[in-house]
Amino acid sequence: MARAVRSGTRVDTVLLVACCAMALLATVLPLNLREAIAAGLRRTVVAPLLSLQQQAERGRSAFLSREATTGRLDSVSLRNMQLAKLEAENERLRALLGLGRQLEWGFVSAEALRSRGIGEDNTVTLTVGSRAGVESKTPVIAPEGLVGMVLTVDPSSSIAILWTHTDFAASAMSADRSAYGIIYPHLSESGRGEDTPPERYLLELRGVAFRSALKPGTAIVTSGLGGVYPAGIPIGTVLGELRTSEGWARTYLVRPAVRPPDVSNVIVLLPRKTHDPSLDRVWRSTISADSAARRIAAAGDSLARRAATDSVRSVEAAAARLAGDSAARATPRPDTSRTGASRPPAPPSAQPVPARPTPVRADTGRPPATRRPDAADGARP
Amino acid sequence: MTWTRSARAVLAFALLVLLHYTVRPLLGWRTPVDFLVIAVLLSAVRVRPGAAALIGFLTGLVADSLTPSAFGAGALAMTAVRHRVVAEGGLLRR
Repeated sequence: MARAVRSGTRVDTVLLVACCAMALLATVLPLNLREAIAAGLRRTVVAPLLSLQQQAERGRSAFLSREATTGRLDSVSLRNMQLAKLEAENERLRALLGLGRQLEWGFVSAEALRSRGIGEDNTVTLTVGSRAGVESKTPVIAPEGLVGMVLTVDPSSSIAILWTHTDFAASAMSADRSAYGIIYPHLSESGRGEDTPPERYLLELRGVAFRSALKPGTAIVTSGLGGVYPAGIPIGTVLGELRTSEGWARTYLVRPAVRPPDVSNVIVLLPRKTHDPSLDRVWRSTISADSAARRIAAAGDSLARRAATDSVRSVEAAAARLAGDSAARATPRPDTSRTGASRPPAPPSAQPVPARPTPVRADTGRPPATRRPDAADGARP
Repeated sequence: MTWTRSARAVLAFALLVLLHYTVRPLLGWRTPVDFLVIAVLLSAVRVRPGAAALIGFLTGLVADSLTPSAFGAGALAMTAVRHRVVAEGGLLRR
């Protein structure tokens, strides 16, 4: 035992001295030589260990970044949810700008604030009032068509009834002027038949002459009779005839052009504008542009999308030419630089200003500098 | 020392070296455990002082290959540590 320990001690001492000498030698070697030895070790013996360390580091950073990635994903998802709402709002505002450019004067744009109280579903609070020239019984419209009518007016706000209100009624006609009637809200939520589910937001066209049969899909617009709503504002499309006990007139169920839940930004026509005969043409061009825009949305491939875009441009250019011609013939444009956009035009003889067609683009986001929808906000009554 | 104990010591050493390059990076943000030192200390009690010094020297060289500026320092430290552990263990055993 003692011999073994002694011989072991001697060998061990030799090994220890050799190892220490080699370690000391390694520390004093030139840098390039040390690097060469270390690189050789890294490429051979240490390579698998380095690979393991690399994978472990990657796993650690993945673990650490997982929480941040989850948070980022949540925020992106939330933003994506809001994006659809923003896109819809953007589209509505663009349409409103387009309508404002077509109207040119005699209107104010407003936000429609919905009341949340019970029984207040049929009214909205508008953010414009008498200071902007709004009066009671002035029409409230949206790019899609008729929304309702201003009921009460305050200096800076007003309350309007929607077409769903029980007091709402408007003189209406088919777009081809072949049938006239009075439009009312359809108050019962029963369906039209056994196959169709009940719908909440519908209208009734009552008092249509028995000889005037309307086909489903016929467009219904305001007739201009009665003096409140100017002629030509879209109201909706005929869904079908309602069976009533009246034998002398027909009643039709109408799908509205404007759904009350979608009402957020509206245009209030000022009283002087409601007597403008060119309003009918304004809506006709708007309807055409809208239908062309719907074709864009329906187009699946890029070629169809491009063709639809071209058709929108051609329709809007034709509408602009038409508006320019009509303005040159009948209604010269008012000078809004001094008096504001709500001022009606002077007679042609008194103000022979040559009409100039308004440039219209497919996207209606950039109105002319002097013809913005909110240009009449500063109008003086 | 039997073959079983030798194999067990080699296995424990290899396992601890593997842990040094896998678990240590994962635990890096908490406590940087030096599994190499643990492996050296645990295996040192199983071998003779000379072999322990040689193993410590090689282990130190492997560790130093990743830090070329201090190449050899780790080898020297490991050699000394292992030899002292075995020598003290031998003294204690005697």
